Amino acid sequence: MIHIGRAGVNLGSFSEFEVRQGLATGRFLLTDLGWKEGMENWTPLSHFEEFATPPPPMPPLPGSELAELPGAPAAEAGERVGLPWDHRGQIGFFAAFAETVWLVLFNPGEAFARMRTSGGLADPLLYNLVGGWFGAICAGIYLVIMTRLQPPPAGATGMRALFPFTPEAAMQELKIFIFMGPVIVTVTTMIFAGIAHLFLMLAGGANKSFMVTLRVFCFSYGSAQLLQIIPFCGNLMGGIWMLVCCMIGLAVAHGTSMGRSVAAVALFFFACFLCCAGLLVLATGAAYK
Amino acid sequence: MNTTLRHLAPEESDLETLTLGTSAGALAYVGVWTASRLPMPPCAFHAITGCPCPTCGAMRCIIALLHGRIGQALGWNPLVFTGLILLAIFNLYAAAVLMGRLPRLRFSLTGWEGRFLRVASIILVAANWAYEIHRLG
Repeated sequence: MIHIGRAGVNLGSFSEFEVRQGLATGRFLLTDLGWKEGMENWTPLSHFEEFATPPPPMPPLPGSELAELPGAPAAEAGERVGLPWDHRGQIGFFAAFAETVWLVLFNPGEAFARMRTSGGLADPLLYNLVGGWFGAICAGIYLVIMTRLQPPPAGATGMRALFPFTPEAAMQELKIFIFMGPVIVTVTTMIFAGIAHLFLMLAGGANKSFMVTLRVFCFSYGSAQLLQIIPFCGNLMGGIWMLVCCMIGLAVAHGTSMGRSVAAVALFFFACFLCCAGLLVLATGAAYK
Repeated sequence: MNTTLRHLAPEESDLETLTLGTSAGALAYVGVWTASRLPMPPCAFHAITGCPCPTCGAMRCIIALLHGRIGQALGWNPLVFTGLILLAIFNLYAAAVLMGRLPRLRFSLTGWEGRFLRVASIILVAANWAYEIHRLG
């Protein structure tokens, strides 16, 4: 078995056949690091004897000229195979969504190594919308329940003042999440990705465009928001796991070090969650008298 | 810095549409939130440490800006104020480009320009935070 790593993330162990197949489909790159028993250090796959020379091309099938047709699909070197969500036309909407959620949440290194870094944004935004909207509605429902069980005391200070929602305000917020969910989820993800990309640029790790960061955030946010279904602590779990997925995703997708990615996400967390949340600042700023 | 004016390449990201759409969506969200008179969770950093965070004063900056008090808005949080003004200018440019189907402005930085911008940004954020601590702390 050969262990594969990229940007400080261990992508798992694979047989020689799987690695060869992965190199052919773009799942793995010759610049990825590999290690197998008997080796002292991790080495780029291009230095492995078995992968240094590509296998001879398959001879054309007698009587078939498909491969010669202009426009016939051909796998380019380094092309990423895409997440299951990108193949929902073949495997079905719900199966593709479930498989992508599973892959992103439990094997983010492989998920973001497979994620396409080019193409339209409709697919990642739709995925983000489905997961994010569902999560927002779950969070809204639990907030309504919590505020009814224990309304916030009037004039609360310190940490207790961080949750100023009355039952009526929580119900109002739930209605907003239901009817404006798509707008809120999309706008929030765009702003989050924009801020994180700025910090990734500051950390010197933005090797690819903003669209790659946006894709990482769409798949991380859309997956982790489903954890909101867990009562009361789902909000915290979803938030933390989204940050973990983003750290791994940015490192793998941008081909940068894990240190730079962690620095960018830590600054993003500080700016968006520890400080005043941007949209809420805007919202209350306009309402303040 | 290399600046070019060109039309979008196939599959190239349309930054102008994305920025304009996000700004419009954020405005809609703000409008609904405001009309619903929902509460604003206070700054967690300030609640925990008692020290203002780098974006503290942003709310008051926006209020002042909405009321046309430019000098006061600048005083509350200079970095947020500058960011909002730059965003407004970019949105005007984006609207003009999209409506007129005009070529897009794109620029690329050389290595040392990128490093300079990175260091300058860090210094600006730190200076802005020091100013906030001095003013609000």
